[in-house]
Formats: sequence, structure tokens, C-alpha cells
Amino acid sequence: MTSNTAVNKFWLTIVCHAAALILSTALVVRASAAEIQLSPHCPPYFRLQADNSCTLASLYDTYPAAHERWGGYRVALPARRDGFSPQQIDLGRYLFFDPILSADQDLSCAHCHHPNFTLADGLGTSIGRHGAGLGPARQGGSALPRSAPPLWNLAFQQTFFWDSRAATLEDQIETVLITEEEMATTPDEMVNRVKAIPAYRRMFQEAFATEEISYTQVLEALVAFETSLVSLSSRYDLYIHGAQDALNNQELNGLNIFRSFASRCSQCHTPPLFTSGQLATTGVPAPISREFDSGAQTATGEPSLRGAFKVPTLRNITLTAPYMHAGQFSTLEEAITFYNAEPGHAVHAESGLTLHWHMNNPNLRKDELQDLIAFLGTLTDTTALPAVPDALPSGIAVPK
Amino acid sequence: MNKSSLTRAFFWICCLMSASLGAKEIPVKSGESIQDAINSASSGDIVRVMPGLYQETVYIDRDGITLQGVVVNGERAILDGEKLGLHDGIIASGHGVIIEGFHVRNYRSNGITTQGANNFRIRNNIVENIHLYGIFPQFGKNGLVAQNIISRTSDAGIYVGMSENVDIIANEVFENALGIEAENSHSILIEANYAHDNAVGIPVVIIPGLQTKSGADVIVRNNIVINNNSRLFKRSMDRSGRGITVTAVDRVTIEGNIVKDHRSCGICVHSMTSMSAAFPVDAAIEPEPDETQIANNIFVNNGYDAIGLGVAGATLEHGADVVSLARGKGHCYQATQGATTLGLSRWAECPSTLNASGVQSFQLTEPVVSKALSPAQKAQLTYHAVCSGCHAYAHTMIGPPMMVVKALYQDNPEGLADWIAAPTKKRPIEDYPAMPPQNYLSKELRLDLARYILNEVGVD
Amino acid sequence: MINFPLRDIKLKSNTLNSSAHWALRSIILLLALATNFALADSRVFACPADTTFDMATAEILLQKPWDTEALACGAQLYIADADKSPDDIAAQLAAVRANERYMYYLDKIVLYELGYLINWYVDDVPEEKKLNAPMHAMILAQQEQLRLVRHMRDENRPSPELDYFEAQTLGVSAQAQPLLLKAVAADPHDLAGAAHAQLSETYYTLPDILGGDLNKAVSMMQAAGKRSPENPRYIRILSGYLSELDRDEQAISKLRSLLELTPTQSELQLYTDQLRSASELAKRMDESQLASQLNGTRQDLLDEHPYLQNRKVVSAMGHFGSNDPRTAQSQPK
Repeated sequence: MTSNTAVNKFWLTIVCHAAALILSTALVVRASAAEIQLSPHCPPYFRLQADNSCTLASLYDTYPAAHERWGGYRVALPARRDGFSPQQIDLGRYLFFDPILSADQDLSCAHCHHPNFTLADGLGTSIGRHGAGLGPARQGGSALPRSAPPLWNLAFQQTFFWDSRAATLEDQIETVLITEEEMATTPDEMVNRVKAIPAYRRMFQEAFATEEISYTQVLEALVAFETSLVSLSSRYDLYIHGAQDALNNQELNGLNIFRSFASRCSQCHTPPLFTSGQLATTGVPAPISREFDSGAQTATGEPSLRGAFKVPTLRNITLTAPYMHAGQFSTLEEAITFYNAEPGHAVHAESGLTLHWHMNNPNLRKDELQDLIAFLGTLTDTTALPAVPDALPSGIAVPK
Repeated sequence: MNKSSLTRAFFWICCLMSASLGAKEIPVKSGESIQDAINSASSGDIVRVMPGLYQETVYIDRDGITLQGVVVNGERAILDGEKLGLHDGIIASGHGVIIEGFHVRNYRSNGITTQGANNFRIRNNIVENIHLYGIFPQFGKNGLVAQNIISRTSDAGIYVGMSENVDIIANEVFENALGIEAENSHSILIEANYAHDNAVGIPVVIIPGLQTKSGADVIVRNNIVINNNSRLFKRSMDRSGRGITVTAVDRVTIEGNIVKDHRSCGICVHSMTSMSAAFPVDAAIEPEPDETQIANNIFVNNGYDAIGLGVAGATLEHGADVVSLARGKGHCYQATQGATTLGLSRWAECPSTLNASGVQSFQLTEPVVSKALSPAQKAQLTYHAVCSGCHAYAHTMIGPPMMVVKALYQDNPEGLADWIAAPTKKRPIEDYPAMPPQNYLSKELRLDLARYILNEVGVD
Repeated sequence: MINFPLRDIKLKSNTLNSSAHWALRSIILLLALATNFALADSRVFACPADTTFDMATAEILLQKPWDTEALACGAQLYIADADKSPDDIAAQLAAVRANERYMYYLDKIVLYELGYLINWYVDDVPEEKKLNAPMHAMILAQQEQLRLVRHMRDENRPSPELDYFEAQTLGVSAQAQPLLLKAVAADPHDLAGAAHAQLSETYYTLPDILGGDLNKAVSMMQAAGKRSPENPRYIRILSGYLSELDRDEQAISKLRSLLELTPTQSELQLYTDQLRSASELAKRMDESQLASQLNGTRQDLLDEHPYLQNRKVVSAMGHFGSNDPRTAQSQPK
């Protein structure tokens, strides 16, 4: 290996520049609300079909299917939600950024899932209604109990929210709409607000060929947009597709520790999605000055799921600190160190948690921890970050 | 040679021939890194590792690689994890991998493992002192584990987990907790192995609570199974003293084995309920084995003690050469002169032709392949899966519009195909970030891709 | 006055009378797991530091099967009371029953602890880690229960009920068989088929050469069903046995009959548990429509009664773990 460091630097440069460029490049020309045109193009990594639908394309689909959703490396991706039209996806983008959805017209999806913060907000626990500002600077308003997960690869997910309580993306969106601490509205009120805006009437007409905007269409547009946010072209992926130099030696060591049966990282953060999508109790402590969060137990009534949360994807993990369901750990090092200790060490011995059976102190050395962290850095791919609109149909200021 | 093995032989010859067309041999000498060699290999290549001590974890994440330890005067390439405290000896996720000729020892996790790899072959390796499994193919279809020697693993020497169509042939496994274990797997041939001095010789099992709820069509044939009474490992203490066991797996044929010197039983047939109380009831699993066929085996001195052989508080006073603690349907036993049996009173006499009689191998005559795509389809997919992340046809994304690229390379797809393999900066970095090299795409695919870009990409 | 089923046991007080009766009924109905959700919800307890016996407190604690600490605390209160009055058979029985209830739920919870099995398989795990707290508690509870039951048998004239209690504590095992045979021969009304059912299970579990017999298991489970026709557990188990005898048609109609039951609140947990197993069994017999009907009924109950426990079988040692069934989705076959 002659030029590993140089190669790595080269890749880093790409990622940085890619991110910088996306943030500065707008897909739409500067326009007032009345002139907003929906994009006829599919988002990155999607192919426009003859019937005007966008389908996801991935080199993973050139591999044999994984039997019974086992996961693996050179395996095809599981079933996904795609097939929305470019116009529906782009309409979803405007709705996503538009605070018109919320009762007070001060909260959009993007307030907690903003491209500037890799589709999250950089906060340990998010801020809902009446908050001000974006990202880590956001303040005031309703304090929410958990963090906003970044929205990558939702097209493949079967359940949503940290406690998996929503079975569809539509359910997830609806919950945010009607929750008092968040958008605090009702479907009818929200649809009426959208309907009252001529630009939206024109855009829905174009995207859905409809005279009357319906609640279902609003949800569908949001789903179309959110499922277009894919991250499957990281350096790790290039490596798996055969680009040997995409990872350096330290990162490859990290990969091997990641998939070792002693550490078992890959048993729950299963490639290629880097999540099994399942619930697991890991016994993270409650964040300082907060109550212990019972997680999926509250949602299911299932005592063995006390403190269980959905295994999050590790894609773009380096960019989405802080970590865990309530930002308990501010660095990856803290998060991994937590797993490299006796299971249950961070919770009260009598807390009655049923820790996941893959929790098992792997006794990794310091250098192995660093290698793991380096490997996690190879899961970064933000090429599909959406552009922030210049203006919104509602005329409300764009959150940016 | 019957027809299917002829076809198979033909297939492998074809494979070797096609591989050898552009294939190269990459030598590794003592003191060099095996991984570096793997990294420079492409599909069809053979990495040949000379004798010496190699302290690394070797991993193979691409298809069609052969990793070969060259044995010179009995000296082998030794992979040793002890000094660096390494986890696995060899990990392969690439399909069609061949791993042979190594001595793998002292690893914290597994000796040789394949994860989700199809069409694998692992042969002629020595594996010893491993904390979990010696040789561990998992989630694979179509493979061979042959002529390996595995000892002192604190779990199974060879462990085939949730896999299909695997032959395990002519291995020696000794002083492991379990010799050769087939778990929740289908179409597994365990033939001509020598399993001795483990706690259990050859367990064929269904374990509840896993993704796969069944196991079936396993042949245990012509093995030599001797003195599996080891109490070295606590993990298997309760089961120690058994030669070949079948737990709930259907259509297991046990034929032509020599089974000698086991405390509890030479062959033990169990249902899920007579296995272990530690497992929860998994109603999706049919608990009884069906159609076990035991014929033409030679038994010597099995079941001289019965410690540990019992169910639900009832114990057998003595074991036997063949013990069935299961019910199930359609079992048969062909009596061997002088052999002792227990619980076989309702078993039928075996027919002259056994279930497995015609089976020479469970490997597939053709390898598992991906969904077939024409070159054009593959190029189209690759364009959208790779290029469209940064390029649109008419507008600027991260990279310049494809319109511009088309204008530059209008009649020169070769030039474009070469350029994307090793892109050089054409514009100031302030305008566009550098494009990553796409050299991992094959030359043919790059050319197809270039043609697709120049001829097909339009208003996207 | 309640009709107390154990004929030769004298009671000290009305309070204990009713608690002893409660105890017997619950055990006899084979852990029907009567749970008064409204009562459970009415008060929040931490396990009291001072263990002054207060039946109301103990009872409410025992109504929280989703809270192992509360269950343990409730059982401890009953056991402490029994220890103070070794002559008071009613107190002893109440302790048995509280203990039983705790064990029943721990047993189910232990299923979720299979991770420890992995450690079990690896030799360098320290000894104390191999037995986790719930498993340890369950073993202790079992020993304690056996002690209590045998104490009762020593203090009283033999009775089929006590035979059954002891057998019940011994579990499905060869040692329980002679006790069960005695209980079945006497066939007291209050056992409601429980002894028949357990005897049937021993016939099923034991290999034929050690006293097992699948046909006897079937007829004994049918006898249990006659004595307790609405017990969903008996129906489901019988269906499984029938399917093993290739009597699939009968087996399927048994499963179908589960859909017709109208369980009371106190039987709901048992019913939902059995629906899960029944659905898996139906799937195994390629009756996918029936399987989804059974599962649908179960889902509806779970939705309707938030305190009902899900109790899915967990993946064990499930490399990759992607299908650890900790969601409502069933595992792929």
C-alpha cells in the first residue's frame, strides 16, 4: 500500500466539496411563490420510467437476493418504496420545508430534519412548537423527549419513530401533525391552509391531476420526497462494489472488527442498510436531568421492551452527532465506549431491563475502537441531500 | 461418474478456463501482507501464499478470488491471531471464493468464516485453538468444506449455519466442543470425515428462534466417528458422549459410518422436546424428526454408560449404539449384527434404496447467480446508480451536466470509458469537486456505460 | 361464604379464607392469570421497605405482570406472611399462588434473556454471569414452592389436590407422573382437568422408552378438554398432538374452534398467548388463512388491552439478528 493516506485525503476532499456544493446549489432558479415550478427530473440515483415514475437504482441490485432478509455484503437491497413521479417528489420537498403544515405556521419538517444538519438537527433532544432557530442553535419552545433521527433510506424501513410505533411513513407524519408539542394541528385544518394557497392548488393539480387537494395527497407527496433521500454511495459502498482504495487500512480494520462475531456490531447494524430495523434494549442511561425513557414498552405494553429503541442506521453517522435516542453521547467515541463495557453498566442494576442478547462486552482495545470510528466515517454519503427551496408557495420564510 | 457429476465437472472446468483467460497469480512471501495481495486481485485471480507466519485478519470482499496457501515440504502459511489479539482469521463475503492450504490458529472469534457468500470452497486448511467456530459458513448457498483439520475450538469445529447445498467432505475434527454441526440447514452432505475426541461428533440440529424454522435433507455417510466423550468444554458437557445426533431435522440419512466408543450413544435421535429445556417453545418448528434412515453402519462399544442421556427427569440406565428419544414418521433402521438399540421398536426395516442413495453431492451444477441483466441494462442501471448522484442531463448538480460531457466525447466512448476510470481535473476545484475514480467497474461495463451516456442519456 | 375446595384444611380467618380460596382457584385453573387491570392501574407502588403484610397491597402488586419488581414484591409479602405463620395453611397456599404467579411471568421473561445462553456457550464468562437475575430468582422460587407444597402435604391428610400441586411444581417430568396418576384417578371437580392436562404433557414429552405415549397424550388432553372445554391452552396443545399423528383435519378444526371462544378478562392473557402459538401451528400446517385469522384476533386483543403482554419467542443466538421478532411482525418461515 503506497499512497493510502493520499488516497484517503482525496476521498475526504470529495465528500467535503460535495457537501459544500450541494448546500450552495439550488435546483430551482430564484423565484417568487407564484413562479415556482415543479421539477420534471427524478432525484439523484433515481431513474425516470416511461410512466413518469422514479425508481431507485443501486449497484446492490446487481447482486443475488439475500435469502429471507438475512443481510450481507454483496447482496441485493430489500424491497423499497419508490415509483413516485418527479413532480410529486418535488411537491413533497416544498411541503417538507413549509411551516404552513403547523397550526402556528412556525414549524416545518425541515426545522428538525434540515439539510444543513444532515437531515437532523444536531440536538440531543429536539424542539417542537414555538421554537426559534435551526440546528444546535434552536431554542425556546416545546422540549421533545427524543432526538430527531436523520431521514436516510426511509424507503426501506418497515417501522418509524425511535420506538417503532408507526407502521407506515404516513402514520409517522400524521403523528407529528397532530401532536400538541409539535405541529398541533388536525388533518382538516392543515389541508384547508394548504388549499387556500393558489400556488399549492396549481402544484397539486400538476402532481396529482386533481381539482381538490386531499389529505392523502399531502401525505403522499411528503412520503414521495422523504423516500427519495437515499444514501447508498459512500466510500464503504464503493469498496463493496470493488473499489479497493476507497478505504484505508485503518478503516478496513474497523470493518473487520465491525463484522466480527466477538463485537457483533453488524448483527444489529446489518449491512447493507446498517440497521436491522428491529428494536433493541441497550441500556443507555437517561440523559442528565431527564427521566428514564421506557421506549417501546410504552408503545407496546411489552415489559421486555422496556428501554428498547429501534436500531438506527449508521449511514452518515459521523455527521449526525449527538447519538442515541436522546443525544446521550456527543461523540462516536463515547457511543462505542458505551458498548465496550459490561452490558447494563450504565443503568441501575434493578432497572428490570431485558438487554438485547447481542449486548456482550467485546473487550476491544483502544486502537480497535479508533479503527471502528474510522470505519464509521466511511459510511458518509450525502450526495442526495435535497436543495433548500428559495421560496415557499405559502410565502412564509424558508427555514434556512 | 453419473450425469450430474459430469455436468458439475464440466462447469468447474469452464469456470477455471474462463477464469484463467485473464487470471493472474499473485505470490505472497513470508513477511509480506496477504491482504495487500488480495487487494490487488480481481475476479479469477489466485493469491498464492508461501509458508511463513502471517499475523493478520484476511478479508475478501470481492467475487471470484482464490486464496491459496502453498504447502512446501509440509510447511504452511500460518495465520496466527494471538500476538495482535485478532478476531477472525479469514472473512469472505465475496461469492465464489476458494480458501485453501492455510494453517489458521489462535483467533478470538472464528478461524475461517464466510458471511452471505454463495459458491464457496474451503479446503485443505488446518484450524486450531479458536474461540468460537473453526470453519463457519453462514447464510450461504452452494459450497464445499473439504479436507480440513480442525481442533480445539470452544464451539463447533465446522459449523454450517442457515445454509443450503453444502458438501462437508473428508475433514478431521477433534478436541472441539462439537465436531461438525449443521444447524437449520438444507441439503447438506457430511461424508468421509473423521470426527474424534470432541464432546459430540456430528450434531445435525434445529435450533429454535432463528430465522429459518426447519432443517432437512442431510446425509451423514461414510464418516469415522470415534470417542466423542470430551469434557474439555463446559458448553457441551451435558451432551458429551454422543457420536452422531439428529434433532428434529427431517430426512437425515446416516449410512456407512464407523461409530465407536461413545459413552451415551453412537447415534442419538431427538425431538425438540427431548433436547434441552433452556429453549423456548417455537411453535413454528415441527418438533419431531421424520424419515431418519440409519443403515449399513458399523458400531463398536457405544452406550456403555448413560450419564446425561435422559429427558424430563427420566434417564436411561444404559445407552446403546442407536438410541431414539424421538417420535416422528417414516424412520427406518437396517440392523447391524450385534448392534444395540433403544427406542427403535416402531422403526421399519430400511428399503434397499435409501433416500440419499443417488446423491453424490449437494453442490449445484451451476453457481448461484444474480438476476441476469443484459450489458445494456447493466449500463443503464449503473448510470442511475452511480452517475446520476452527481450529474443531470441539462443542469448542474455536483458535477457538470451530461450535455457537456456528451459534447466533449461525442464519438469517443473509449475515451470516456478510460477517463471515468481515472478522472483528471478538467475544471477548477472551486467549480466542481474531483470525481471519484470508477475503476472498480469492469472495462466492458465502463465502455457500455460510456455508450449509454453518449447515446441514450437525454432529458432525464 | 365461598365454597372452599380443599376439604380438610381449617382456616384461621375470613381474610385468609378468601385469599386461600383465590390461591387455589388460580392454581387449579392452571395459572389462568386473572389480572384485574383496573385495579392494577389504580395505584402505584414501590416495593415497600417494611414488609408488613397488607393483602390489598400485595394483591395490587401481583396485578402488574408487566412489572417484575412489583410481582416479586407481591410474592415476597405473601411468602413473608407464610413464614410468620407456618401453621396457617391458607397463608401458605396464598404464598404458593403468589410465588406461582411471579414464576409464570418470570418464565416468560426469561425467554427474552436468551442472550445469556450465548454467554453460556463461551467458557470465559464468569460463573455468576451465566445465571442472570430472573433465572436465579425462578430457580429459588421453584425450590421455595416445592418446600411450601411438601410442607402442606406433611401437615394434612393426603388429597388429590395436593398431589396435583406438588406435581405442578415439579413441572412436566417423570417425577410428576405418579402424583398425577393419583390425582387423575380421584379426578376432583376442582382440578378442572389440570391434572389430566399435565399428565398428557408428560406422556408427550417423555420418549416412548421412558414412559411416553403420544396416543395416551391425546386421550388425556381430550379428557382435560372435557373437564375444561373453554381452556384455549388445552385446545392448542391437543391440536399440535393431533397434527403429529397426521390427523390434520381434526387438528385444524381444533384451532378453528379457538376463534369461537369468548374469554373473560381474567383469561385474556392465556388466550392471547395461545393464539400466537396456534397461529404458528396453523402456518406449519399450511393453513395460512387460519393463521392470519388467529393472529388477527390476537392483534385485536393486544390493541384493545394495552396491558396484555406480547410474549413472542425470541431469536436465540440469532446471528445477524435481523429478524429478532421484537416487533409485531412475525418471523418469516
